[in-house]
Amino acid sequence: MDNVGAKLLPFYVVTDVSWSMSGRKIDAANQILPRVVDALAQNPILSDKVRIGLIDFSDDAKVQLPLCDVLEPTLTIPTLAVRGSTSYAAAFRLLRTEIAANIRQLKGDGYLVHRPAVFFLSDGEPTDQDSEWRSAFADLVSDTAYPNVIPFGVEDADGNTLQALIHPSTGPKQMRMFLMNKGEDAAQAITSMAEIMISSVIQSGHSMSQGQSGIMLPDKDDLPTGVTTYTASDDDFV
Amino acid sequence: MTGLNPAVPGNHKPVTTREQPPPGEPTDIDPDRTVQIGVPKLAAIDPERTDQFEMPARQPSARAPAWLGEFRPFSVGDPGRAAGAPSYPDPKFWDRPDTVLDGVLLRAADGLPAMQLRAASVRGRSHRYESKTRQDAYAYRCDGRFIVAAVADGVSAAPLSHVAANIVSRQGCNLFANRLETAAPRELDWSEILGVLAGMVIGSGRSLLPSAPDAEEPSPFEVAKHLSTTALFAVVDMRPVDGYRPVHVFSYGDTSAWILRSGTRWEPLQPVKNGGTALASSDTKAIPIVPRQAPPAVRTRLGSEDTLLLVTDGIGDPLGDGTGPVGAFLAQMWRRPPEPLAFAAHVDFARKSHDDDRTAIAIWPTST
Repeated sequence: MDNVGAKLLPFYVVTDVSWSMSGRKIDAANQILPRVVDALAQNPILSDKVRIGLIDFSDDAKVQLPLCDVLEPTLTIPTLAVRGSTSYAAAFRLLRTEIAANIRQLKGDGYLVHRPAVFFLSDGEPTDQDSEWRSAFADLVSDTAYPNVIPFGVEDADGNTLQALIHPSTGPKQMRMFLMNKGEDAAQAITSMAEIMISSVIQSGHSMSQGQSGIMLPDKDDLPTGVTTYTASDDDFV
Repeated sequence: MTGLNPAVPGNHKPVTTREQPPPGEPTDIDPDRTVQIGVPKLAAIDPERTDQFEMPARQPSARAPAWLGEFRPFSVGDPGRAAGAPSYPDPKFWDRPDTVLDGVLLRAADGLPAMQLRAASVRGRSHRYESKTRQDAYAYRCDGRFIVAAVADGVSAAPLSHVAANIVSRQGCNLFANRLETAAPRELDWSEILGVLAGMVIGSGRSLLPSAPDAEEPSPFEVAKHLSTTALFAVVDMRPVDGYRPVHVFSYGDTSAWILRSGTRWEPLQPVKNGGTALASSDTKAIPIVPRQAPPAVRTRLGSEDTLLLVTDGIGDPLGDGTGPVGAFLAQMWRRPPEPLAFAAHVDFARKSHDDDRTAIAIWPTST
């Protein structure tokens, strides 16, 4: 097996495609992956190790791009289309089975898989019951191979809801969330979120070859305008 | 590519001499010249259509080059995109070489057989591409009875880790050599030596790190953010017992020691990193943050057909449990002592996703 011992750092971009994402917002969301690809194409060191998957969710969730090397020349980046309401539970359930299946297969092929990261982008409140998405999320992060979860909220996404999705929420490797500031343009904010995701992919890839494991996130001072980052214990957002 | 005409002195390229030219290449071949050195079926060749030519095999002649040998970089499996990435210097550390190496015969006292040693420390492709200095280091000492050898892997996240790796490998070898003047290898106190090394790194950090005049000196944890390194030491007794050289290995962090048994099987002397875990991790223990009680020493013995290998995780990770393609490659190359420069080239093999600094010391018994 030629892959024996190869190191992989998986990222899952999980995007809300409910009706409210129509128009410039879904257009901006469709630019996330091409921009990530452009960034990786400029870095031969990171692109050897980074794998990206794309999942969208509405009433149901779909794997739009299975975890892959996005610089493979034959690859076509899918275009997402809006389709219904906003089931966080559907997203978490699919994410859980997808991550487990990917890790099982990659480890079977001899890869050394590092802990995955999930960039979770939403523009609104979940339409499923509170207990339902909370229990689906709890299942997702209770697995041994739980992912780091970094929520990204624009427009009507609720800060308190997204805050509950930060994982790990405490400890030396705690994650953060990124929220659009009130009054900003949501499509522009999604473009800014893409910049943050790219920065995280690059910093985390560096960190992996630096004797550190973990997902790195840009500092508060290095954020694009119109976006603020919060930890799970911050309570100063409105 | 030009200069394939074998009659032109100075254009001999050893790498191409035994190869056919790529299709469409030999347009600069003079048909008259090729007649002289015997291309078969010349009559069938249209002199206007040079694409019909096959490059003749280079004949040994008076015009053969005055040198022998060639070099091609090594790769195992897919070399990855990183193999083609440029290598940039680190403008903060101009005088720290990209690669250092040694190949020596270590003489033994009392008529004991000598031992061969090869060592190389090579900057990883990640550091080369990112203009960062090499943070691995090695050192060795030999007094004719014991060989003390060390590899150290500076933790990249700490920017002065190459200083820590130098201190620990060099001063650590001195400490071991010093203790061996009065103690047998099995009596060596790794906890004590590890504590002294941690103190040296902390002391160096305090002198190097800028601090306000009236500020408290940086804590060990503060120093560790700037200087941090793993360490592995081996003590080889050059006096065989029943035909085997006793070896003691002392380690802290994810540097690893191996014995290549009879040139065929890699035997790890520590648990294999990421061996059973669900997800991989690059986290490692590192000096100067050390426990009061160091990990236990590992004792083994080196047979006359064996190779002792000490490596940083830049090699340890791709070597895995030793049964994969990298294990096969290194076993083939290192069952006998290679040329020192070749050893460094082996250490620098390309393999996708493995871009860390690499350091290896290999030690072989000799029969004389």
